[in-house]
Amino acid sequence: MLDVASGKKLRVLDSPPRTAAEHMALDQVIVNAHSRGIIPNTFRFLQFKPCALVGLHQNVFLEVNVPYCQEKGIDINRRITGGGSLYWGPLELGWELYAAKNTPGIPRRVEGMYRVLCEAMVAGLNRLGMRAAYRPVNDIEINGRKISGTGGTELEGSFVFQCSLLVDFDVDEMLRVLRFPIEKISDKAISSMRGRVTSISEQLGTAPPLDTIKQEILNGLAETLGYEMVLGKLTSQEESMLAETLPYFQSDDWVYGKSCGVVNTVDSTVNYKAPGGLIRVQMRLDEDARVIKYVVISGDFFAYPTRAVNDLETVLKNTPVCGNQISERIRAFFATGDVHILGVTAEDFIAVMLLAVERSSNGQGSIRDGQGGYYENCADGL
Amino acid sequence: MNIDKYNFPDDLYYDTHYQWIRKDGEKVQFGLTPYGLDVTGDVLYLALPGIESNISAGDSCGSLEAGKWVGRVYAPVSGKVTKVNEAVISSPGLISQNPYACWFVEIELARPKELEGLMNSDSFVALITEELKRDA
Repeated sequence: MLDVASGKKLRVLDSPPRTAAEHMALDQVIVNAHSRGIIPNTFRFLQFKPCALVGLHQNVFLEVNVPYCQEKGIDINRRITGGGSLYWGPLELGWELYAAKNTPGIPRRVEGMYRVLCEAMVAGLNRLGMRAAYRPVNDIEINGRKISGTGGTELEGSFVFQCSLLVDFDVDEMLRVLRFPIEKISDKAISSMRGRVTSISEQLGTAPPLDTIKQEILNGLAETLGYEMVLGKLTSQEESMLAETLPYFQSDDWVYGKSCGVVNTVDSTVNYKAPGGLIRVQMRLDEDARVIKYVVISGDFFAYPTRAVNDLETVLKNTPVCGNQISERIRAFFATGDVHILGVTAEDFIAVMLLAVERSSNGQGSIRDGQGGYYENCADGL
Repeated sequence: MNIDKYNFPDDLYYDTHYQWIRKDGEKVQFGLTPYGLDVTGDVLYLALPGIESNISAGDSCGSLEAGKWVGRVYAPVSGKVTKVNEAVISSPGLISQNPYACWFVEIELARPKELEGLMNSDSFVALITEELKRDA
């Protein structure tokens, strides 16, 4: 075992692409092994055979186009961590850090941990020639477009922090694999989604070799956190634990959530006519309408800076469904004075969000103007 | 006892997972302290063990999801679950409003002596003080 007494050495694991089930099982194995004190702090790269991954409590059938995945041989699996569904293409890259909660340099508070580790990842991405930045709470962006997302979980004295990176992302395939609260997969929908994410290949014109990307990520982490990275491999004990654990992560019980309790979701679409233009909100909430999972905002209004809409979507993600909290977050967002949308106010956005929440139970959209009247058959604003 | 912005009542026990434990005869109730809530973030989903289930001290017996973080709920003592707080499962946002009123489950103590292994407010404040210094 590596000497980890100083907490500054990390075992680095790398492997050719694995199946989603193997990676999910390994997540469980390594965090268990770490919590038992039988392995050192560990950094692990992940490459997948193409797959769709849902969060721990998500309903696969609501999040993933299961027939399409089955037809195309795309794996479906469930993470041990929370958050939303994601499509993982053949060139995407992930990494995980397994460490003790009291590891020097890593804050104990989850929010602080996200900040420190995202900033370490930002350092690595910028070494590749990009201008990435940390977007609280747990994303990394370039000019308002997400390039990397993170999540994590804990077990006893250990935690695992996960990071995914879009290297050469296929937005069209993602829209086929995952189910979004959008009415149809149109050119506008694809364009809208493309404006929210970016990838290394898009930023640099071409993606550098994966080995180069991996090395710069390690360099960024080493530089920011002061870790020494030591290439290692799974212990024989971990290999045995993986063999024991894998069948469960391949089972329908795990993948379709029969054993962990899924939370169903409902979608709604609302078109709202404000003086400055149409606002379209496509929202996904959990079934009991407790939390806004996410919103997609579009329309024919003009926002400055253009990233403002993406930023507002981020602010509203995971907001408890409570009129006061939704209103407070939107008002605080506009109160910074950094956002200007001609003819559209914070109150317009509050009205449309509350309407989307109200309509979520039947999934039907509606059209409403800024004066409180409803209209039908408004132009497609996406 | 108060530290920083936190209040830790003297009549409660505490564990290393930032949970408070209230003893009432042969039973205890437990929940998340305000500090634990700050560490994890606002709880969006809470999963707890069912009534009649037997849980063991120190073992994970549930989970809580806060955004993209999944934390665990740990059994502070061993015993049988006699009540589950359905209200807090339905509305985990209540924890942020009043953490000490939001008990998770009630446990019938199997080994009352396990309470001696928990912390009082003084010890818990000492633990938190060290952590706050480290993160400063």
